[in-house]
This record gives sequence, C-alpha cells and structure tokens, in this order.
Amino acid sequence: MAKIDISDAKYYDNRELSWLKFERRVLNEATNKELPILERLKFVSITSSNLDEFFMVRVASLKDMEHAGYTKPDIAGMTPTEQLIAINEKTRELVDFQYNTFNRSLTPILKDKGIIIYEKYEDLNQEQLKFMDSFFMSQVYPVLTPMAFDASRPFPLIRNKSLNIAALIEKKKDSVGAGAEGDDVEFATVQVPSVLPRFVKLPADEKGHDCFILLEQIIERNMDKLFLNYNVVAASPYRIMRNADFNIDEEGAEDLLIEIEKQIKSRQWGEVIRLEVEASINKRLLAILKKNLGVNEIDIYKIKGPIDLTFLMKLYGIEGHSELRLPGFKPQENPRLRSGDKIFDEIKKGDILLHHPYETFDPVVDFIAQAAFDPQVLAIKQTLYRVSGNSPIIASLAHAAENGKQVTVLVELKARFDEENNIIWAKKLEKAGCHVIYGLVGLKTHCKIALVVRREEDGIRRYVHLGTGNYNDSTAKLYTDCGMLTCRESYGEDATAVFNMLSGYSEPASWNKLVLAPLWLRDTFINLIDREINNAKDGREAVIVAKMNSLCDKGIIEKLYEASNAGVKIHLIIRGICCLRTAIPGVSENIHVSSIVGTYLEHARIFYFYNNGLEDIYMGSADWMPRNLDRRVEIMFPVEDSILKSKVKHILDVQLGDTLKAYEMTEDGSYVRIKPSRGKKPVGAQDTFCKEAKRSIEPEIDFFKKRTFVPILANEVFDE
Amino acid sequence: MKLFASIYIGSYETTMKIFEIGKQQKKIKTIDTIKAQSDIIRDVLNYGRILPETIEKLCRVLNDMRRAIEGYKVDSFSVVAGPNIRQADNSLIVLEQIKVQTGFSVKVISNSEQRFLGYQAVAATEDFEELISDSAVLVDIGGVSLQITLFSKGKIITTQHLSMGTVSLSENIKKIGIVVSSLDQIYEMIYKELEVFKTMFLRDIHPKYMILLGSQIGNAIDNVMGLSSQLTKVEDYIVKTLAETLMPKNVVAPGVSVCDGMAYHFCYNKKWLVATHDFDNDIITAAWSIAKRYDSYQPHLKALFKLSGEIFDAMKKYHGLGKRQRVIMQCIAILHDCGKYISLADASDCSYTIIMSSEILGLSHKEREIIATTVAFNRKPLEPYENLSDRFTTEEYLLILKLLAILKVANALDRSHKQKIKNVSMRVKDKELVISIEANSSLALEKGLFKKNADFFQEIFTIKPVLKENK
Repeated sequence: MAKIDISDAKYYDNRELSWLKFERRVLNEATNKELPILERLKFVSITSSNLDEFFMVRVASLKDMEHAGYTKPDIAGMTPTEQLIAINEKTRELVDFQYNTFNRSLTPILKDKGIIIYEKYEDLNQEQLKFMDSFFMSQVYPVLTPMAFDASRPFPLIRNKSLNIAALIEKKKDSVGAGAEGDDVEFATVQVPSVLPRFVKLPADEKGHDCFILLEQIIERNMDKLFLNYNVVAASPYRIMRNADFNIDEEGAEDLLIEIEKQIKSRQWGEVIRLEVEASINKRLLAILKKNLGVNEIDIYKIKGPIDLTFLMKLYGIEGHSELRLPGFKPQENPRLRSGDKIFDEIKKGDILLHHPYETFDPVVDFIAQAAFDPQVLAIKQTLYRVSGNSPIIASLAHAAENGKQVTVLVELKARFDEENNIIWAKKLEKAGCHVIYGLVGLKTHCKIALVVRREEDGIRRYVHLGTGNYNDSTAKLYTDCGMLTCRESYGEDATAVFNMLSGYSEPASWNKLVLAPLWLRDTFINLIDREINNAKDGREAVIVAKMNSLCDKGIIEKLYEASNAGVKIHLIIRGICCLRTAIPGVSENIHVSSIVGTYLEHARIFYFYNNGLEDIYMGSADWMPRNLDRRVEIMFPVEDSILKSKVKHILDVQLGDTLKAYEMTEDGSYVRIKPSRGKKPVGAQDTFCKEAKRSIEPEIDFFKKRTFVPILANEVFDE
Repeated sequence: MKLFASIYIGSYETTMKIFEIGKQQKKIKTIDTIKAQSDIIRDVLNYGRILPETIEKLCRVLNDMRRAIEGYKVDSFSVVAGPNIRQADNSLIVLEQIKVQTGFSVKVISNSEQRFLGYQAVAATEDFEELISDSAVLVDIGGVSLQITLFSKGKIITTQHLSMGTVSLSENIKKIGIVVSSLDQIYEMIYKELEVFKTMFLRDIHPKYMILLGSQIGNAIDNVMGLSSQLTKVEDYIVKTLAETLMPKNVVAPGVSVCDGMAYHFCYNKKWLVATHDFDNDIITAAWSIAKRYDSYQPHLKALFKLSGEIFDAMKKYHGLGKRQRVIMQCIAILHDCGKYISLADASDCSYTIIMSSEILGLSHKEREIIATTVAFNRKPLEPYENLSDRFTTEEYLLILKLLAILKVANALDRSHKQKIKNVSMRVKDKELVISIEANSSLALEKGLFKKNADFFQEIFTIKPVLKENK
C-alpha cells in the first residue's frame, strides 16, 4: 500500500462547502414534523439570514481573491474560482430545498393551522383588497421614493440587502408628450420601505383565518399610483447582495473609530455579488437589472416564492397561536446563585460553573451590577465583543465609573456587522468616565473575560468571569455557552496580566493558568494532543473530546489525524464547519464527528484530554480555526475544581449521547442523523439540560462510574 | 493591609508594580505589574538627548500608571528614575515635562542607589541567606552597565561595575555593522571584561550560585540551561557568557527588580517591615575587603574601628547623629589609610580616589563622597564650606566635620599603630569627654598629637576630650 500523506488535500473538506452542509442541517429542522409549524418556519428564516451573511463575507472575499488573480488552493485543494463554482451549485440546491420546503410543506400546514400568507394579491377577497389599498395610501405611499432611469438619469443606487421592486413603465398614449408607439418603455425602481413591517395583517377571511400579505405585494398592486402618466408593463421584486467584507487599514488609521464609520458607509457601495429575482420576472426587466448592476449570469438566483425569508422570524413572534410554538423555556437559577445573593461571597466558597441558556445569564449581569455599587470594589475590567441593545452590562459599567471605580473596557469595534452598534456603546462608556480601548491593531479581541478587583480586609482579591460566549444577555437566552466564576489567585493574576497586555503593556514573565492566542494557544493544543499520542503509543488509554463551533485549521487537523493513527480515540462535537473527514482508513478511523442542531445555537467550546487518567478539561473562546488561533486574542482556561470538572464532563457526555438532534459525519463527508438504538426513545441533549436545570439539582453523573464515553457505532445510525 | 506602588523609569523600560503589604504575614505581594519599553537610553546613546516622541510616549505610559495607582487607591507610592536619564542633555526638561503632563515628581537616583534597591529586593527573597552562605555572584544587568557583587561565606567581597549593558552593547554592535543575530562579537566583548574580574577576584573559585537581578530575565534560565537553543536577545547572550565565564554551579533568577526594592526600602523606613538581611554589615564587610585589598595595616584599623565607635556612642547626645552615620563613621575608620598603598606622601588624595572608585553596595554615591572627603581631610588642611559648596549641602559639610573630629581623636589614640592602650572607657562630664585608658608602654607620641586633635574636636562639639591614664 502506498504511504499515506495525511496532509494530502483529498483528506480535507472545503470550509465553505462544509458550512453549506451545516446550513442544510439547520434547514432539516424545518422539515422536522415533530416540531410546531412556527418553530419550523424559524429555521427557514435562520437559513436565509445565515446565507445572506455567508454571501456578504465569505463569497465576497472569494470574489476579491478571484479578482486579484489569487489562485492558491485552499485546505481541500480548491482555487477560489473552483470554490465559487461549487458554492454556487450547492447554494442553488440549498435555496431550492428551502423554497420547496416552504411552499410545499410549510405554507399548507400554516394554512391548516389558521394562518394564511398571501403570495399574490390576486387571491384576496374584496374586503381585504379594499383594506390593502387604503393601507397603501395611508401608510406606504408617503414613504415611497420611486426612481426612474433613462438617458438623462443615472441608474439609482440600490442599497445592499434591501428589497426593491423593479418596473417597466410606458407613457400613456393620451398623456401629454406621449411619443411614438413601440420602444418607449422606461425602467423604474422603488425600494420596499424597511421602516414598515414586511408583512401586513389583513382582515380575516370567511373562515376566520389570520391573513397576511407581504408589503411588496401591496406596492406592486398599486404601482400605477406611483407613475400616474404611465402604464406599468411589468413589475417584480428583486434584491441584491454586495461585497461587504472590508479590511481596515489599521496601520495608517490614526483613529480607528473614524475609519470604521467610514467603512460602514462604503459598505453600501460594494460590488453586486448576488441578485435575487422572482422566478417569473419579465425578461426585459431582468436584462436591464443585470446590465446596470453588473451582475454575472451565474450570480442571478431565480426565487420560487417571496424573496428574503428572514421575515419569518417576525412571523414567529405574532400574537396568539402559542400552540404553534414550543413552550418557552425559562432559564433556571443556578443552585449556588439565587437572585439576591451576594455573588462575591458565594464565589469565595468555590468556583461556580454556569451553563446557559439552561441556567440564567443573570449572575453574569449581577456580577458587574453588584461590583458597580460595592464599596469594596476598586476596579472592573471587561472585554465586550457583541453586546445586546440596551445592555444592562453596559449600564452597570457606566454606573461603576460614575461611582468612582476604575473601569476599563475593551470594545471590539471589528466585530462583524456590529461595528455601528459598538461605536455607540463605546462612546457612551467613555462619556461615563470609563477607560475604553478600541481593540488592538491587527488582532480582533474575541476573548470573554471580566475582572473585578476588591479590596478586602485581608488583602486584594480578584474575581474573574471567564466564558465561551459574549457578554450579551439577549443571545445568552439562545446560545448554549459555559462560564466560570472564580476568585483563585492564579486566575486573578493572569486576568490582570491579560488586561495589561490588552492595554499595550508587556507580557508578564510567566503565566499561571490562562492560555492565550495568538501567543501560545496553538502550541498548547498541539502539546495536549501530542501527550495523548504518546500515551496511545505507550499502550495507554488516550481520549480526546472536543466541542466547538468550527474546525478548519490544517495544523490541528493534521495533528488529529496523527493522533487517530496512533490510536487516540477522538470525539468531536462540531456544530458548523468541519474540514476534517472521518473514517478514512489510515487517516481518521478513530475520529468521530457529530453535530447538534437544536432549538438553541450550540456555542460552547470545551476541550477534554484523558491524560492517562489525570483528566484535563479546558473551556474557552477559540475554535480550531486559523483566525482564532493566529489572528485573535482568545483565552482558554482550565477547569480545575473537581465538582466543576465532573459537571463539564457530564455536558460532553450528554451531548455525545444525543439521539434526537445530533448528526454524524459519514465516510463521504455527508451528515446523517444519529438514531437511538432499537427500542429506545430518542434523547436530546438540549432537552436533557433543560430538565436537569429545572430540577435544580446536581445532575446525576454516572460518568464517574464508567469513566468512558460511549461512541455511537455505524450500525446504530440510519439515514432519514 | 497597605498598598504601595512603585514606578521605576529605567533606561529601556518603565515598570510599575503595585504591592500588597500584609501586616500579619510581614510580606510583600505583587498585585499588578505594568511594563512598557522606552527608548530613553537609545536616544541618549544616539542623540545625546531624549527625543520628544520618547517623552510623549513615556508620559502616556506614566499617565496609565497613575490611573492604575488611583484605581487601586494605594496608600503610598514612589516614582524614581534610573541614573542614565541624567546623561541626556535635556534631562531637566524631561523631568519638568513629566511633572507637567503627569503630575509625578520624579526622583533621579544614582547608580549606587539603584543597584542597592535591586539588592534589597533580592536580599528579601526567602532563601537569600542560604544562597550567599557559601559563594555567590549577584549579577545586575542594566541598559548601559553590568554590576557584579561577589559573596563569600555570607559576606560581600567586592562589587565591580562593568560598562556593558544590553542596550549599549547592541547599539555598539549596530554601529560597527554586525547583524545582531550573529552575536559572537558580543561574546568576545563580554568575555574579555569578565576574564579580568575572574582572575582578580574569583581566582579558582567557581561560585555556587549566580543570582540574576531584574525581572525580565526570568526566561534567561532556560537559555542558560539549554545553551544550544537559539538566543535572540543581547541580554540572553550576556547571561550565557556570564554563565560560561564564571561557571557557577547554579543559576537563580528570583524575578525581582528595582520596583520591589523600592517597596522594601519604603516599608523598612516606615517600619512596616523589618529587614531580614543586615545591610549595614554588608557595607562594613565591603569596606574591610577594600582595606584588605590595599594592604592597610589591620591591627591599627581594628583599633581605630573600635575607638571611633566608642567615641561616637559616648557623644551620641551631643552630635545628634544616627545609626546610618555610625556606619559611615566606621567606613571612614576602615578606609582612612587605604591611599598609602599607592603613595605614602600623597595618601590623602590617593585614599580619596580609591574610595570614590570603589563600589560599596548599600552606600549612596553621596555617602561615599562624604567618606572619601572626610578621609582626605584627615591628612590635609580643612577647607571652608565655600570651597565645597558645589558638592555638599551645609548639613553634609557639618557631618563631615563631626566625623572628622571623631576620626582625628580616635587616630591620635593609636598614633604609634601599636595598640598600646587598653581597657578604654569614655564618658562625657562637665563639657569634657573623659577617655580613661590603661597603657602598657609610653604614650608620649599619642599624647603629643592628642592635644592638637582635641582642640579641633572641641571646636566642633564644644566638648573637650581629656585623656586620663589609669595606672
């Protein structure tokens, strides 16, 4: 047999295609008949907004590479052009599947359940039409700005991601100045106003259904009112996506803030990389759009249904119909942190693990809130990446500064699509007297760490919160994340050093616990995997369990292949992108990859190393991606308290045992659902965590007794 | 519990440390460290002055440090700059700029004081006494110079100052156009200097420990141990060369620096802490080593050491001097003759020069100058204050006079260098310092000189020394 080269591109998956596979898994949830209809629609909406972001960032940057003549192959050996072609094909499949699901499965069920979304105004009854027309005149008409395009007027600026209606209009023959017959057709476009809701509730129909119509249909029907002296020949909605991936020239940017504000403005002007039109669009109309927007044929997507399904997220929240949604889960109190408790006293008793959203995010908010008013607190330092609108954490930090605490906040301005938001908060914090650091040149600060310094009777004590997710109380209800509160001296010292480094000061002579990217996080991972490899080679048990969002770092994957070949048992729980391939003989036979797509977005990063029985568990903010390991400030921290360790192991154990929402990667790189073994009921990890949190007791950890994980074997798995 | 902050503006690095001083534990704990590179010494070496952008950056760093000090609500703090800042033509302007922009009044310390602060920090580490109990070299690597102190059996043998520092070496190397990565040249330069030190002081001793001062050389240990590994910093090369030349059996880097020393110094003065190491004894033993090196006549020195101490103690109420001045007095006694090694006739100036060129760890530059000047005036006519006003304050001049008066009386008592007097006792009574002695041979010589020196003594203290012979 020829010697296997584990760095050969054929053993790796392309990250964009892997991402599209993840999107497909998300979309699969929309086909899940067990779920209430509105939940299913939500997944359709998520796919839509994810796809938008994917285009604006990933596809855009591939386009840039293509334009620059960059032909270096990626991890899977594909050039940018090859990737774009493959992405195009897979995206079309995904979009087709999305609209088929929406049109054929979901809309009929929705109607069945008493909700009708009219796609065509022609289907409305008289009463509804009357309502619609009066709605148009009173609400819509005043905010419309129709724009024409002809020899004397340039093609108007079409805003990124905005929905528009294009129309062909011709002068009425009896009007003044009407020209000759025939070619006197003009192009006009009007933006569907984003200030109005995308769908409008109509009077109920005869059967008492809740009836809705999309805003663009209302405009389309009343198009002639916009062009009084013209006949509307054809009208059709369309939407464009522009290249939004920008690189800030930080070296020259004296003031990062101004630079980013400038970039946000320019984002509207990028190259058009996708044009979505209705499948039934008038050919001539399409030709005009294509020519003037400068779109390639390959980038035009003909959509069989309403363009931009993100509005379904709003539909999810409509009044009533609670039976069409899953009963909401209220995040439970952590048994050690009842509301009203003095959080610092409790942390002093021992480390605390937080598991969101099963457990409430309130302790993290309280951590800062209590610090703001605690007379013993001297300083608060925190990193902020993405914060919620009206964030209570921001408010507490501002209060703290007003109360004379020294508050240092690192606001990462470069958090994609949140720049605008972040600038507002940053300015607000500065005004309150906080010391605000606007990120680091050349590095994104992605780590999640908060430090509270207290002057207590017996000395300075530092309280640290370390997490896997952002300090965002809204997303903490939707993302599964872990956090740890501790006042161990060693963590406090390191946390202080982290903030000094983030302020531009030198690295300390030594670190105690925290592992930092881009400094030595990568090396640490490599060493940890190497240790398992050596143990396996010496005939000892060797296990790695890693949970993260994405795995696409070639160095790490190669190391994992090496470990697999050495006999290390590797279980990866990877929600999204995974460029690693499983079950390749001589490469990855010992690696199992699963992916959980559930109600909550899996977001925690947990790393478990068996270490010959002296188990090491780490959590952190970094995925195994080059950007996390090399271009971001990330923190990985060990979990050392034995109770906490067993809790984290339990989390991994339950996730590995998921037979409801989990998929596993097969030899050909595709994903199939993991089914429960014959006669057993499917068990979902997220459900289990909800139940455990509700019982508000310590989870029963039978893990101790067996000390091993139970992998799901191929014969227990069936495709759908 | 108290908090203390120290800021040290070094030649190539500005460091702030916040310390927690526990009343019960009697210990100093570092809470926070902020370190930033600066180009002070680079500017001084290349332009002779500190450039505006360097000052600007320094002030920005100091302002951040001030914010941290305010944030911790420290009980006290101290801001000190190393001696090299003085080498800049615009040093006064720099200090003024710092004052205006940050509010900090910076105290510039001499090389001796700076080294001593570092030494105090090392001496406060737990096993320091153990480290020096056999033989050890304490190495302090600075930006422009290197200082080595040799200990034997717990005592200081010598302190030597070599003009080689991390920044000056690499700047030199840059000037002569050698790539810094091929650092063999550095090795040569250091080796040559160290050889002299080695043959003169170490002879064939391989010190048991090499103690590295300065927190930034924490990693140096790895480099010394794995000598083959790639060394990229000049500093690492210096450490490596030191290890290869001095051949210590162990290398220790306690990771403390001047900032720690500032904290200890402050705490000792405030009586928050009591020093575990006897620094005064270091000074005395270092002085004895110098005397020994210049072949001073030991029995006479010992007699003088004892007599001057006794006069000092007896006069305590009248001269108003303290413990520190007593140590200086003792150094004067030990070193008052050292110039004779070079020239009997010109002993006074030679002694002055020897003392001024000998580093004594624990004494400040000013204190050393006081010792040297007092010793010089022992043999030549006293000059009026006006002649010395550029070097000493009036207080310092008065101190010199007082110490000189004691030295002269003590010296007169052993004029013949034969230690004829025994069982000395002294007390002050009715404006007289009565010195009761027993003598085993004629004291004619002593008595002759005593008269003259007693007059000077009386002039200074308005107390007349009287010799009373018990037979």
